Amino acid sequence: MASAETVAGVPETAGAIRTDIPAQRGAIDPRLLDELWRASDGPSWGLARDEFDAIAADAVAAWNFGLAAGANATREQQADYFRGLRLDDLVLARACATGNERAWEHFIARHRQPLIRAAIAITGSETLGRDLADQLYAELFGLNTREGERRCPLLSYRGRGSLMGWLRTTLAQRHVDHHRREWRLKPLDDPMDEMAAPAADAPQETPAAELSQLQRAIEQALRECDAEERFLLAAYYLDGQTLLQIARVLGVHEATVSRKLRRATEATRKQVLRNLQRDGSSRRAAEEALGADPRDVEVNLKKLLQNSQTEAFNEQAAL
Amino acid sequence: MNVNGQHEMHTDVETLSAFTEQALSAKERGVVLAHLAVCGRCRQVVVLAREAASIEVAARHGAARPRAWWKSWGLALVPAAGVAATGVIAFYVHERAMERTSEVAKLEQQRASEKTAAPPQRLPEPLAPAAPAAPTTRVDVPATPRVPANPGSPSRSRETERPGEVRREPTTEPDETASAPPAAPATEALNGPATERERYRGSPAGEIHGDMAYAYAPSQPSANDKTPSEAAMHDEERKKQSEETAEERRQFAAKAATPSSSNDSEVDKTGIDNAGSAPAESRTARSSEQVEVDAQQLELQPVPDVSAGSLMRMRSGAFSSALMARPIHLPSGLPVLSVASSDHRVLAIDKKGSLYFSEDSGLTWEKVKRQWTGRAILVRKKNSEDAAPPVTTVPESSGSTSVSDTLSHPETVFELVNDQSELWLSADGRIWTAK
Repeated sequence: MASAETVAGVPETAGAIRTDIPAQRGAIDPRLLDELWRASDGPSWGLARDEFDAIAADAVAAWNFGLAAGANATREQQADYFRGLRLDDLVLARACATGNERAWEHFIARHRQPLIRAAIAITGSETLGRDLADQLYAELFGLNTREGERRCPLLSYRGRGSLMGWLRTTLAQRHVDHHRREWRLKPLDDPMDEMAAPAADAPQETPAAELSQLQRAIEQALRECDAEERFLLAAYYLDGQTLLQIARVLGVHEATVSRKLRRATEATRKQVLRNLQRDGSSRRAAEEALGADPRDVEVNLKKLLQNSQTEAFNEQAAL
Repeated sequence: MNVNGQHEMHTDVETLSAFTEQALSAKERGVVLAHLAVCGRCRQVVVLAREAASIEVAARHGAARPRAWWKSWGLALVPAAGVAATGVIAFYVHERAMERTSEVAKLEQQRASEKTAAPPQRLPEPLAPAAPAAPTTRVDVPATPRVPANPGSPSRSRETERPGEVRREPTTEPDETASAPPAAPATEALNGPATERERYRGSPAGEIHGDMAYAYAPSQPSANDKTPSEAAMHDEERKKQSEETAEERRQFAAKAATPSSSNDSEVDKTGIDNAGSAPAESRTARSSEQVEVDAQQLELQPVPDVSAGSLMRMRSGAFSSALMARPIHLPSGLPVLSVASSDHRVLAIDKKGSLYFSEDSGLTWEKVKRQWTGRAILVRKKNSEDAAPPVTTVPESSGSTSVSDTLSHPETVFELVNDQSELWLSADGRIWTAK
């Protein structure tokens, strides 16, 4: 059914559903697969059962139910894995990637206008937003090719989040990348450019030795912060985001963000004092060092955090 | 997480999307947070995606969410405010009506007490509270030309004016009782008013109606305003008046019960001077009329001659007063200055001098178009039989034709006096003709 309903105008993509995966397909419990099929809304827009089975098998093949490679998942583990997926969105995305006409109709009816609204919200301009949405829509339709094969971004969607969230994030990523390219890879708002530049005519009252000691203490204190504290400090002090924006990203109340931010600031300050005292300064001298003009402290927080990026990815790679 | 190159080392879209939707495990979330802490680009992506999601959610909820309950009451607040305002106004009007009713009741009580007690000592008392609602029914008695003054000279008439004392009419007033000599009644009239005026100078009513008092303040008698004989008699009588007043009032109280119709004219001429010879009933009625006039402060009626027929009219006037005892609320909202009534027809002048006419005993009022000059200060009733004589005496130059027609009508004739002591007549209360 799915092969017969392949959209004539939509060419077959490189990520077309592969139905010849007996090992993967056989790995899914048949009864669970039946339950997933009945719970899916694929039949409402014309998805065939074999297409559904192929899509489910393809989703499992990449992650092996979230388990280590080669491990056999029980039926409960398989059920938990599928419960954590947005299976309907995943099926729709894969069906669209294969050129299913009814799937595209369903996709357009369901996501076209939200996609435009999201693009307008991201760009802050209706014209730019519609352009951005149309560009992404063209990509989704498979007009871009790589090495002679059509590449549909929907193939990278694996159902961990909602399809609309994925589309919004993709739009935001396209917009940020476009903006960064236009501004020579500068971030959208980089307040640290002004903050990092030391004042040329500022009187340098603090001795250079003390300043270098203070810089080391600050760098060490920032490295010792946990991921959330560093994110809070970077988002609030570097990006200039509001407490509400940070709260939305973290999914907490902005009062919580404010409290956590205050604690992170106090903890960082105490850690800097401890680092200064550990380097041989008295408490009074450490406090006086903290009172130095920030413009005299040649600490590029952005650069400092960027340097720690490698460490973060090393941590992630080790996972 | 893509690690193919510097650009692709950023967290992939699906992971960022799942992070934004709180769909990651704690461990994965920590990894993404660690990356976001050092990657401004991914922070921007996450923030923008989250902002777009918030706007989408807000738009979806805004379309589906019903209006807040208090917003739906927005239109209902308007009539509610109107009802509240109406209630406040109604309460205010009710309170004001109750206050006036209490004042009228107090006035009636005072009148009743005056009727039972000696009237002369209590004359000034009801002045203050009775001003707005006190109806005035003029004692319709044949006027006598006691004051041979020039009608064009208002100072002459003002000389004899005083609160609480009926005013003598101008010399052009027809003299029905021509038997009385002109000089003697004028002297008698001057005696009483002088004393009363002295007494009323300190009364609070003069303060209440200060404007009207001011209107009549310049009316000081002068040598040119009256004849030498009148002036001399006036001075003498004024001196004697103060000495004799107390004793005369005591005599009045003692002789009040003795009816003496033969002295009616004397009672009317001298007011309280000859009160002792006046019949008790007419005396009481007369006193009541004086109180009403005092309340109006501007009742400048001429001293009528009380006759047997006039007593009946006084009774009917008292009856009309009783009808008019309820508060009078003119459309202008101003206090009533003067009131005259005949049957169900009522004429009233407010403090601004506007004349209002009512055909239903004061229930509804209509404003009478101004047909006179100056400021109307007094309206009074004059029956046709009283007004009949002027047909022959009214000068032709003062519109005698229409007046004659009016006066020849058997119905009641109303008189209107302005602040220049000029007189207008009307048979129906609406059409006025200068006399």
